[in-house]
Amino acid sequence: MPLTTELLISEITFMSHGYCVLGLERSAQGFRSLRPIPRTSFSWPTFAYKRGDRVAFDLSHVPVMAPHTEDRLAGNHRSLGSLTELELLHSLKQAETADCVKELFGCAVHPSPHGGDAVYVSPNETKRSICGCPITAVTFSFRFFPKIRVAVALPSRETLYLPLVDTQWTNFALEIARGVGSSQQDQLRAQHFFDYFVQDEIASSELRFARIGLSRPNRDGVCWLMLDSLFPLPQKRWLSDPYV
Amino acid sequence: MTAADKKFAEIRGTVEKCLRAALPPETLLPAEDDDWIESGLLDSMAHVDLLLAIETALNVPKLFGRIGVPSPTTLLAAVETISNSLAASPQTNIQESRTLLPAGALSSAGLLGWGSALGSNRIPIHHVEQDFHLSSPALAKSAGIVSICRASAGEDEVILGTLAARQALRQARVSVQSLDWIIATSETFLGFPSLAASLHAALLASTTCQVLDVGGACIGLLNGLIAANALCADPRIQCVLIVSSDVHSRILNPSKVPGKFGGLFGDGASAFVLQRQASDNLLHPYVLHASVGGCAGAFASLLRISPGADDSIHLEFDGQGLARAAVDLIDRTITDAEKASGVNRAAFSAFALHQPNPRLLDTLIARANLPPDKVPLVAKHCGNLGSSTCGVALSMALDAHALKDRDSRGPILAASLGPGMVWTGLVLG
Repeated sequence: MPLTTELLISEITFMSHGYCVLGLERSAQGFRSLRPIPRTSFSWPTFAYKRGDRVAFDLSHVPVMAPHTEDRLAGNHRSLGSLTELELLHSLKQAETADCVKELFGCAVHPSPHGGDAVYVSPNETKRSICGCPITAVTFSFRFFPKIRVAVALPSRETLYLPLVDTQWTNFALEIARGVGSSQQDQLRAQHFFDYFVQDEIASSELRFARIGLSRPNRDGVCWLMLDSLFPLPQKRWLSDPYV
Repeated sequence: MTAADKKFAEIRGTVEKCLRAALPPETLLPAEDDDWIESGLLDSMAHVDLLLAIETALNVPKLFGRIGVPSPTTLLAAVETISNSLAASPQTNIQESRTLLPAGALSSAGLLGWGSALGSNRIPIHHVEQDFHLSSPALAKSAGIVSICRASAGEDEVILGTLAARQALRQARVSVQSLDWIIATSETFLGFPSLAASLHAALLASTTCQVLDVGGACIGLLNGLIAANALCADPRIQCVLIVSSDVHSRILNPSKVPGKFGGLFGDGASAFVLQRQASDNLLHPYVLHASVGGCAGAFASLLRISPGADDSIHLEFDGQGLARAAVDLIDRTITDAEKASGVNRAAFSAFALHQPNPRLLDTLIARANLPPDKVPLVAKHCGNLGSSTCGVALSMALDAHALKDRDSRGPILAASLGPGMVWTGLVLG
């Protein structure tokens, strides 16, 4: 029997040709993350809401596979209003959080076996598939454009190189990239915009926080770590910076 | 076939080789315009790993790094992207990049001398277990150590380093007065004058011989060799001495650290002489052919060690996590070194590897499919010597192979990792 549940939409990430969505449900201890999924897929082909929206769903339990224990079958969604970025962040800090890599998913991470920067976890070792963490620094890499990689430093002085799947940040970066010419000067200019302007904006913000998620197990049975959310969120006004 | 056609075919061969390695063994290579991602052959992460593998194999870092220019997802696009990038950047060609000294280059600096020195007290592991109040056979069983070498009261980093350096100089037939640089590394020498300056004084090197201390803990020796090789690109520099020396027993003692950590370490030193070769020299010493390495901060918390208050030591040590990450990363370093040098691991004569403990080395040998007889053993009888583990192993490998004719020996691969986690691999050819 589906239960009507209010979720505060916390993540909308790119997944294959659709969107993976996470929301926060209020619990006795604060908040917990749930992942509303449509009937036929893990991802939504389109999603009518935005991050920070309060949305009512009729949620029912589905057989879940580790580590994506937050999956819930979702239907009959309707809007209940929305919160500001600051209010959303306040709620996220009362959900699953960790200060170091090992506590993110309750297990050790492993380096990519093929030589990349990415790290993965084994699904049967994890206790969840999403976790928030404060961050102390961020850098962006466009080496494998249009894939975007973000390095984040945790308070534990550990660093993670993560594929960016956060739709807001990805769209912001792609908007910048679309306007970049192929000359070396243009390339440098765009990278400098992220290296200096964007990173400075993030570094000087009180809102520095990330939510790190796990991909579905791939054919080798491993789940990659991904950057699901990065706070502060990108601002339209940044696009008026002289670098752009 | 024109030179351009030949280059195109060479690039295509490299891309195909990397693609084959990225795909499951039974999978056929896709057609040249099949999209690797759309066809489901590679996921997003495997795609990035493949591009990195191609960069490593071609020795052209950051080949694909352009904002707004999509990375190739087909064989044809990859070959064309690479060909165009190389043609557009005349300063970038495959022979430059991270290949430190192309094999056979007339000006290359060769390893003409090497040596090692171990703490003169060999302590059976059950005595070490007693010292650290561990029940026997805790270390023998969990780490596979038989004995460790400890410095005697009269030995320290400078004494051991000097002994190893003199051996290396004698073998190279190089006078200490001809040294242009002394590069030193240690994970235990903390005072000033630094170790390099202290060795300079102990060896009575010329006042114009410069000194450099490099860090990196267990990768320090390999870092030193890379720095030395880079210095030799300056035609004014003829000869560099590289020394590692570690005396753990004075620092990691039972009053400061737990036995499951401190009991693994021994004391020792290694030294190498890198000398520029004259073009008519008939000797064919090993030269540094390629290097790989990096730093993965995701694993930084597995081992942290720093001075605490009141002469104590602050230690964070996740033994199991560290062992797992160490095997993963050294295995990956070996694979990267294979790609960077174009040498298959079966062709190497020896693998001079860092050895946190013998059990972990056994795991690595099995995982990386290395012939055990090609891996010089250090930790089993001497303990983990820190930056000198790899140095002593390399010295043993050179003893066995360096004096052979070039045609009858294979390259040597050295690989190490340290807290950070940092890793380095070198191919000596």
